Amino acid sequence: MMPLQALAVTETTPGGSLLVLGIVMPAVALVALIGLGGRGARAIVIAALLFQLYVAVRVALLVAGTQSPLAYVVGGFHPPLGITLRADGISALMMVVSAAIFLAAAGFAWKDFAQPGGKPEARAPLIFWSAMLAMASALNLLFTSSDLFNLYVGIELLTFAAIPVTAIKGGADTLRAALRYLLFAVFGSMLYLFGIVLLYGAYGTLDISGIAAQLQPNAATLAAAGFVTVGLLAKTALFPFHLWLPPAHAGAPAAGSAVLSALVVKGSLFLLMRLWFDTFPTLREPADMQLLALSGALAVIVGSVTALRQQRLKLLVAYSTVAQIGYMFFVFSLAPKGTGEAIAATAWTGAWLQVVAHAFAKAGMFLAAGLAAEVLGHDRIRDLGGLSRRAPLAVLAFALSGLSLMGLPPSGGFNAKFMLLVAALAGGQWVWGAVIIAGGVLAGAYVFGVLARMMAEPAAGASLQAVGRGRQWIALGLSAVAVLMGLLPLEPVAFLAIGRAL
Amino acid sequence: MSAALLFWLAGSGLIGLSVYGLIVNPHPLCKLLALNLLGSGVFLLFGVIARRGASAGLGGDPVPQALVITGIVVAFSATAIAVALLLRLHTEAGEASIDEEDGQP
Amino acid sequence: MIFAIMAMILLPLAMALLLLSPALRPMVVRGLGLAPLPALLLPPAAWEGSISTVSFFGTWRYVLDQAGALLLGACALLWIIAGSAASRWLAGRGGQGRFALWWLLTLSGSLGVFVAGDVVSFYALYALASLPAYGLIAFGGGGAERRAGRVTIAAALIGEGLILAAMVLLAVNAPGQGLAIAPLVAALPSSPHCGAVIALLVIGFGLKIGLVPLHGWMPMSYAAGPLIATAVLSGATSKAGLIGLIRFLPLSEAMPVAGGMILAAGLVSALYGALLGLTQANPRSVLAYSSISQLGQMAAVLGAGLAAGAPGAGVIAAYYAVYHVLVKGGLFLWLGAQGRRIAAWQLGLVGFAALGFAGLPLTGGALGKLAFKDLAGTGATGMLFSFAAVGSTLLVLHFLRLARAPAQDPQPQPLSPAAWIAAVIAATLLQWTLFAAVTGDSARSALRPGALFDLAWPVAAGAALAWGLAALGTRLPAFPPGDIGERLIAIIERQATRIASAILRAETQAHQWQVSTLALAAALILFVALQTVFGPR
Repeated sequence: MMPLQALAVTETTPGGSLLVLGIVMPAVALVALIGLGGRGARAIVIAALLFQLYVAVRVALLVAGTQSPLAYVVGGFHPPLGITLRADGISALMMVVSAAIFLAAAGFAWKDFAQPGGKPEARAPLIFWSAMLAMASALNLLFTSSDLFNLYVGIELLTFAAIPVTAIKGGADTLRAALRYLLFAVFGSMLYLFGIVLLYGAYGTLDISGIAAQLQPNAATLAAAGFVTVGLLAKTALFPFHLWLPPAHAGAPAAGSAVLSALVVKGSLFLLMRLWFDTFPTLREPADMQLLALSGALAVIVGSVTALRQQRLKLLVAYSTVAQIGYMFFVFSLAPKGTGEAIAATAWTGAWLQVVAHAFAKAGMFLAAGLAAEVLGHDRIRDLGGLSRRAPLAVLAFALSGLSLMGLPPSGGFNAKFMLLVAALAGGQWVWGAVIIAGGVLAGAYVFGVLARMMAEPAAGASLQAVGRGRQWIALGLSAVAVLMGLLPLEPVAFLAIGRAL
Repeated sequence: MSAALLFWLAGSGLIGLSVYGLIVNPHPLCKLLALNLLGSGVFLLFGVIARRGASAGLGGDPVPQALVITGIVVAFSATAIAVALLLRLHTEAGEASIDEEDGQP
Repeated sequence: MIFAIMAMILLPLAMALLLLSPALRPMVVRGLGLAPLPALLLPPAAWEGSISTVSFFGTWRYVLDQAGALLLGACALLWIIAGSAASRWLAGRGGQGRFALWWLLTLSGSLGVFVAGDVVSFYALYALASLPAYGLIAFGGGGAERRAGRVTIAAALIGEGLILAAMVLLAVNAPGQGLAIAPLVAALPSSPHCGAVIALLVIGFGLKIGLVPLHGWMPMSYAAGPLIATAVLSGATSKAGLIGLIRFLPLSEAMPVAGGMILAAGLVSALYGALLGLTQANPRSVLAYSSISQLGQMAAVLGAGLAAGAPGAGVIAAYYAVYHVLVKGGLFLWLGAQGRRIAAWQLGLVGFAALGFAGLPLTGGALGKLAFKDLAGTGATGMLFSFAAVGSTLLVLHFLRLARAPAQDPQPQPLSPAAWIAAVIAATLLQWTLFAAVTGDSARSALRPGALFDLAWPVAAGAALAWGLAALGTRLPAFPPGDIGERLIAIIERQATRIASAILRAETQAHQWQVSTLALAAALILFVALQTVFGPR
């Protein structure tokens, strides 16, 4: 933890240019893709994502090594005129996570979006691969930028890259879902933009550290905080603003859903955390934050119950995302302004463990669900029987992901819930603790329901296709990471606190 | 009242009208237009901020003006994608409505 | 020792992974009886009452104390016996891979939970012991069996939620103590949340051991599924709840109020189980009620120990449980081994062993009852325990009568009789040989006239009562299995469905564009208003 002034970026640190690489390189690859296109699309994307992973790991190692954030002043122009890039502990972590999941999803979709022979260029694969690169670039921008408007551009880029992935299957339902997603997301962005207007008007700068240094709780700031938060909540699909998420995530192709649920939704969440914990930390009055936690609690309960009643597998997994996002919002009320450092560190670690564990587990789960749909030709939960025979690794992947979602040890999900529970019960907020536990019970119910069906005998007249082992292993690998995270010791992780002010 | 205040009121009015339209209007094209109007309102407010930040020798603060230009580009891209989706939806479904059909979540 | 523990937990899991390959599957199924073998290496290490702990990866600890060793040894034997029988039962049967998977998972958790020494491992192994049981119960695939499985899992999940809450409160109460169970429990009595923690623990573990009124799922669960599965579930996995209570209750501290309440709840279960069991017509449900009664007595022993501050109560309860593990499992195995007719000697042996639950002299169960005589005392509590013994006698005789009747549908493939005979013999031998180690008195003290009388009169009274009732031709009312517990479950199911439908309806409403966007605008206004009112000045 560093004092507030230290948030300011004064000069480029060694290794800072890696941050630029992380943003610019996928964009360059995107241009190459559109130029060279067709045949080489997949290869370009995999190469770019591998490089992305390398950059992310190097950034993480540098941050861990120097125990301080990496920074880069773009063009040598300091704020308020220029923008800076800054990678602290959580940025580095999210960069690595996103690179890994993108790579896995791209590997999974290698065959699905191959260029069909005989045609120079088909639309769907080109769209898919371009969108993957664009999302990778946008996410890195979100994780490292230190300027509010730059973050706005990043989040818009992320949304516009995610929409085509949602709509790629092309039926009326998916198009409707994509359109609803777009309209709702743009509404949210406009509210966010309005908040930025107010902030610029009040402080004359849009740099995070610049605003934090001058922060006054005047009317403009309070209003801006409200607009910005609600706008981002619409994009993070917090209850009750989640209408767009289930159809959008369920209608996308398997690899697309994995990326959407695991990463795209976390982009706006990351931005919310940046704003509340780094830009206006002194505005975090306990009473206001309870509203966010209340929405989170409702998301957990309503999302889990709705997931229980779903009849289609992909919709169940999407509603599970709605529920799991609720957990991440408890950190606002568990660690408001003025909380003791121990509880705040525990809550902070719990929230980020939840983000990372959910990302891996949900990605693995969506990939497994996609394989299930491919084996059976449908994704009705009632008729999932026989899957354990044809795609046992996929069922195992689903089970391991479910373990993390339920919060059973050993898994990252358990560690996250345990830390959140400790923070909640140590702070006397037993209502949120009860909601966390109830959410785990409900998650157990719906995961078990699906697993039991998957292990049952095949329905009469079902025809089961075979699926390749490679894709099952990818899904299993992602779920296994979520479970292996359970080996971390159950205490606040120091890496997540690098470069933070409070 | 000063010019800045007048434009501020106009911008806020635009925002209010467009939010109303966005919530109430069922047709997606109307919602899209409402969103564009919302964007215009916000950009107008950016302009007011620019005017207020005018210092000696400059008519207005250049930073918000740059932001507005970027914002217009972003809004334009959003509109383009939305129109493409709308057209495709109309082709597929014969009508353009984003209400859920069976009412089931 | 750490290798033995790891082998015990990981070997079944590794075998379960091997099931993925169709070639190795039959081999794994044949080896089900061998999977628990590493567990037998462990109890001798705690023979003299020593406690050994090993630490692993920082957070994880494993503890082997006397109570754990007793339960571990007995359950391992049961799993070995049942596993061998299961291998034969599964040969050539469809779905053997699935059954073996659930079997191995439950086995791993069921044995591991007795050695878990920190809250995380305990929670993980407890869940591993409870949740895969669904597959065992619902193996036949019928609607009733699936419902029984669902209810069992629901009870398990809710219990685990409560236990997790208790564990977190324990950890919060003693920050910096790490997550090992013993230090956390030692710090419990001085904590402000002590009452809440104990309540959560008792309800959470009570759901597992069928403490009235949390018992509704047990009769349903034991009446469904293959008998071989019910044998291990009733014998071994129910003791996971018992070890939970032994580990997490602060037995070294005298807590008369909490202990008294647990004692009362246990005795109520003991008597209630016996009485309600008499109304059942299905021998499997009768055995379930017998379990409720017996487990209630074990809980009562722990309650008495807690009230008096006697840490030895855990060992005594575990010793009593050893007999129950093997004989209850053996009874289910016997039900599974029945053919067309039942030989008289079988009935005699079964009756002798089962009456051990009531304390028939010379049985292993009698030794268990002798062991906790000190804790039970001679006052009202002692009388109640004796009444429970009377009830158990009635129940056992009722069971024998039901089981003797010609079977409606005899098992197509009866289990081999060797299984239940082995279980009964093992139970008796274990109890006789371990009596000295557990209580400090030699086993010969069980043969003293005073002790014999104390044990014999409830059994004799029960037998006389049974003969009298039968002679008078009294008919007891027939209750559905689960009685009020089941009624509670049915009510909860109905209400839960209603609430879920209401939530679903609200969700559909929230999905409409107007509602969602209006909510967005409203949230905006609300948020800004909250900021202004409560915000910093």
